[in-house]
Amino acid sequence: MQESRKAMAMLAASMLAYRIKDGKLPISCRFRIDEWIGGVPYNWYHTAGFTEEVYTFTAGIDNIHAGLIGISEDKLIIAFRGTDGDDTLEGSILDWINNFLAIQVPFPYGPGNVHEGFLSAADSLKEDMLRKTEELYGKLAGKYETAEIIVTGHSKGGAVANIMAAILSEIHNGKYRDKIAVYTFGAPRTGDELFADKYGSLNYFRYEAFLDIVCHLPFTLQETKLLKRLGPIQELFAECLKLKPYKAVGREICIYNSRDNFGKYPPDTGNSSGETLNSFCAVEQVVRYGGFQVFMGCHEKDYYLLDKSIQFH
Amino acid sequence: MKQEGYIILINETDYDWIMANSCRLRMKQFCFPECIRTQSEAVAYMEWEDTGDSCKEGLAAAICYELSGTESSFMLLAYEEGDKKDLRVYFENMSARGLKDKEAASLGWMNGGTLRLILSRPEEGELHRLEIYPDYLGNVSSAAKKEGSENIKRNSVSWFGTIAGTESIDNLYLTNDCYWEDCEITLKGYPGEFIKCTLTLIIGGELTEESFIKDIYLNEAEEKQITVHIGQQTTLVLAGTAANLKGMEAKLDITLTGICKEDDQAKG
Repeated sequence: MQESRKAMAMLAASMLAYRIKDGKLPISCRFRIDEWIGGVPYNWYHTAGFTEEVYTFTAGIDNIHAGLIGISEDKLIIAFRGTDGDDTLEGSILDWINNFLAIQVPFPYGPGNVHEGFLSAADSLKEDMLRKTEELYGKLAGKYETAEIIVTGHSKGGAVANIMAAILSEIHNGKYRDKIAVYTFGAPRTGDELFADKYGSLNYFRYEAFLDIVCHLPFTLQETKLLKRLGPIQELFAECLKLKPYKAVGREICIYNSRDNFGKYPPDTGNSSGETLNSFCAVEQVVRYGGFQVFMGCHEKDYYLLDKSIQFH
Repeated sequence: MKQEGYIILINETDYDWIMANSCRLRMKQFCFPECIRTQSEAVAYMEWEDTGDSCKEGLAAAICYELSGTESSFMLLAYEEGDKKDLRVYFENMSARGLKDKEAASLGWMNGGTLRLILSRPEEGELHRLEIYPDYLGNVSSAAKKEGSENIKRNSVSWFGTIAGTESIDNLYLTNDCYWEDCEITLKGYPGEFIKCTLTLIIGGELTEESFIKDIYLNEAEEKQITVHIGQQTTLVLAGTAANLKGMEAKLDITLTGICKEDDQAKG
């Protein structure tokens, strides 16, 4: 229960990052009702556990990359905004173009290769956010022996969190490495096998809704091999099949929604390579039957199930 | 909302069950095999039309099986009234405990559930014995059959499909609640077809050496079976494509059967 509550708090911080517009959070973010879940009103700021000022950061053309830093008791929370484009059409287009920059480039801070677009997003936010992180963490560590840094994000925000955590773990000769925990929700993959193996050793929780296709993009080596044997469906993903294979980082925690018939697939139990094709097969079947509408719920609201008091039917 | 479910038909009588008639009035899918041989089982799948409009009570679909070489038959009837749905079984020239000749019994309906319908040898004073197990809380893979003295349990899931050109099959899957010694993949074609199947067996969520099954060809009403050694308690998913190389629409049945020895199950 403790773990799921913590995860729900991190999801709330990730969702709060979506509220950043024009470089800042609206004043109403502290008291507005952000979401009704299971008939209960939720405010992301409070669910995240923030009580003081939350610092916001933006970068990129049209401020398409954004993140926030705040303190919740002994935790310094760094959260990144997902694909949003600062809530403008132009920004949204630019943000999606950035997501599709899925060519792998060398990770400048350590081994392996990473997604060019997500690295670019992390790089553009890095300077200001790391400076603030060091400043706030210094104060927090003076107050709490247990002070930790949690890096989080939903969707693209999770991918940027992944890369930023890797950068943070490398700076100052790994000074922060054992203080970092990473929580991502519905995040696409960010790097190749070498990158995943190196940063999988961080305290990393990767939450994936069973039918969320975003968690399967870009494809792993096994998914690429399987998709090529699944017939017409592969045409939809032809461009993705040309990419070098990716590998997800960290420990997967799968979220199931009982309302879905496709959720009756064998659960993800993890295999020898830390990946699993069961949810991939379920998603493939949903795509085949044209159930695209399912994805919206799977990529967003299914993560609210982290709060164990919520029951969707 | 999609309404679907499975019926496991288990034939423990001394007769083959031959499909005599079937009709589909308001049913999207009503997939039953043409023949269920004596001492065997098959999985049928049904999906109701999602019309959204309410209707007076009416027959949505029906299927009739004759017991070969006899005058006896039984029918499965799918009824709906408004949002309520019901499956019924009806006997003709036969009876069983709790169900007399020309009597229909209601089996109920639960979306996503599995119903096991077993017709077995009669006991004294009975013509046949009918047993119905609504297994509505489980999923299709929980349907199982024990093989007498060998203490072997077999779980089967089937796809009865129609293909035009190259099409993906519906993925078949078994959960990891048994130690699967082996699994059998059975494919059955129909007259006038020449089918190529490219199948992949995902074992424990990943591709292994055994996953890449060589292309299988079915000529006319050919039936082929391959066995894959599993030797672990794990999940199995069968995915792939099928094409009728003669170009026209074709029918194809694929069954994935997990074989579990009870002694082995204790390992899990």
